[in-house]
Amino acid sequence: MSGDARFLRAASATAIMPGAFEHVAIAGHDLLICNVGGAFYAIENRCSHQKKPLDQGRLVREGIVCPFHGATFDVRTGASTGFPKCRSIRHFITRVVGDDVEVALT
Amino acid sequence: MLGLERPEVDYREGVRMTPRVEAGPLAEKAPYIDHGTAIVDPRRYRDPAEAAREWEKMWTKVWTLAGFASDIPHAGDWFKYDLGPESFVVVRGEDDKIRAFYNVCPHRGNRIVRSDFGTATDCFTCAFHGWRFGHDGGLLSVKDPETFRPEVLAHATGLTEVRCDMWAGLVFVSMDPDVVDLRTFLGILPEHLDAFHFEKMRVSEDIVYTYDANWKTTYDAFMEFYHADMIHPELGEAMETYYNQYDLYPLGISRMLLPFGYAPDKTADPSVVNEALVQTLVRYEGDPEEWKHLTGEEYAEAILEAKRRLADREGWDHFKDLSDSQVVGDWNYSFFPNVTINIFGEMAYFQIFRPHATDPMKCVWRSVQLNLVGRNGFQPVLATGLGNEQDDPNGWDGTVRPPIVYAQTPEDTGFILAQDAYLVPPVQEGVNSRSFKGFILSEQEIRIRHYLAELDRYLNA
Repeated sequence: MSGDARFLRAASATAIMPGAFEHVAIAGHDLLICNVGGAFYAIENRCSHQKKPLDQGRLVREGIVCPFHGATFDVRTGASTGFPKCRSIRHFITRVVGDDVEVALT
Repeated sequence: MLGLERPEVDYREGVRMTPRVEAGPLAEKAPYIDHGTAIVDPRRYRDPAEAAREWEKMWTKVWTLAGFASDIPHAGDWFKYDLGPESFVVVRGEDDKIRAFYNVCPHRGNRIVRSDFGTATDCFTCAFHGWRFGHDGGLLSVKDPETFRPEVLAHATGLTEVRCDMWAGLVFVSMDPDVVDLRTFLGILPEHLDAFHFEKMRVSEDIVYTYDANWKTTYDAFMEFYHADMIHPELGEAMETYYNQYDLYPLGISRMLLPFGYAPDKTADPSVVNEALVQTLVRYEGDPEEWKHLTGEEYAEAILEAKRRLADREGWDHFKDLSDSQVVGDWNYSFFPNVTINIFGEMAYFQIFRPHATDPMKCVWRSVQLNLVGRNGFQPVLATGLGNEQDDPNGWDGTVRPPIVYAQTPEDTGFILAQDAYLVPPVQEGVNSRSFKGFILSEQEIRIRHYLAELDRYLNA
């Protein structure tokens, strides 16, 4: 079994420039697909501090800053990286197939 | 040194930039300002009381460069700016105006922002107790206001604003509400530098490193090129280290014009086109085969032409307003109190020297490289890459703001700058020695006297 069935198309790779991210809803998940120097990462669009959305936040390389209270997360791992220190947010494995960014959803 | 015969130098004239390329009217030598011949007292570089005096009488009274307007392009975008023990948040409002505030919640003193950059969608919310502030600093709401006695709540205010203004896409702040207007403070700089159009440039690299040295000890190392032969021998293959022009202007502003792009007379054989020159030409997409008739001494002609052609291809139309020297040379300005800019036509390399929050024997050095964005994606030659270039195969369009890199070692600052980062801390140790009597400065180091004189003007006010 390849496990490919878990991957769902989430975005167009060429539509998300390096340094940018796209807010997508897919299979009941609210996600941000982030392009960090050409590599794609998927995180849930929900800050673990006050459960606010992150999609109006600022992405600087691998770090995203919550627009509400400034919590910061590494989009590669979902880890909280500063104040206010909080739990990691969910992140998902991605792959690029052709122009499709696919996300492994469980 | 090196057995070269040099003409006698008239210190009032100084050394004028060698006329390898057309210099332009702005290269005219500034009238000599005589700061005397005194030995510079080293106590001002090591005495904590002096640092405290500088803070109260100078740092809190001047404009300082806080950041770049291009880093906050949209309403709600902000960046954090730290200076000594203070921190500020600089934000673009819905009215497109950029404002700056102390990064301090008036409730309990928490920092409002802690990252270098961010976006406050509708407002700033203090993450300690949830007080909310508008992009204009005004207090929007207090959490659970009914739990405050009215007499206490009456003290609740918005964020404390500081003066904020811009020139050429550079954002300045001042803690002094009565500071002179920014244009006055900047003196000759707009006249000299507007043609480079910093506002069209974007950040390509941003590095912060904490030096174990007073901010002035560090700054001084970048105010003269007298040290180049000893500390940066690699640069001397393609850059003038003697025939450089040092100019002083009112208000502590100064410059050094460093010709670039040819083999100086102190290289082993200046007629030879050395590898550094060829690499430079190739970086600017020139073809060495086309310029085989030139000697190393004449090679600036090739690099100049390569850069002008590159400007045409990349759509840098304002290059037509730059002199040949401005295109190919290093026009290196400093403005009071703590910024130097190496300008190479398409690139401006800012270095900002800030006092440490608590320790006068440390300073916070920041280097920010800005480059013009070209329509063909010309790849900036990054300061960290000097000597070990690595191209990004994807090119560069300036849209991705690189994060500020907090360097942990000198090497993290790049090959050439690591040479300075290794140099300076032991210099501070020597300055701290009871044996050291003070600086004995040449006319190549005259810019140090100049900004110290301006500093004295504040300290003695």
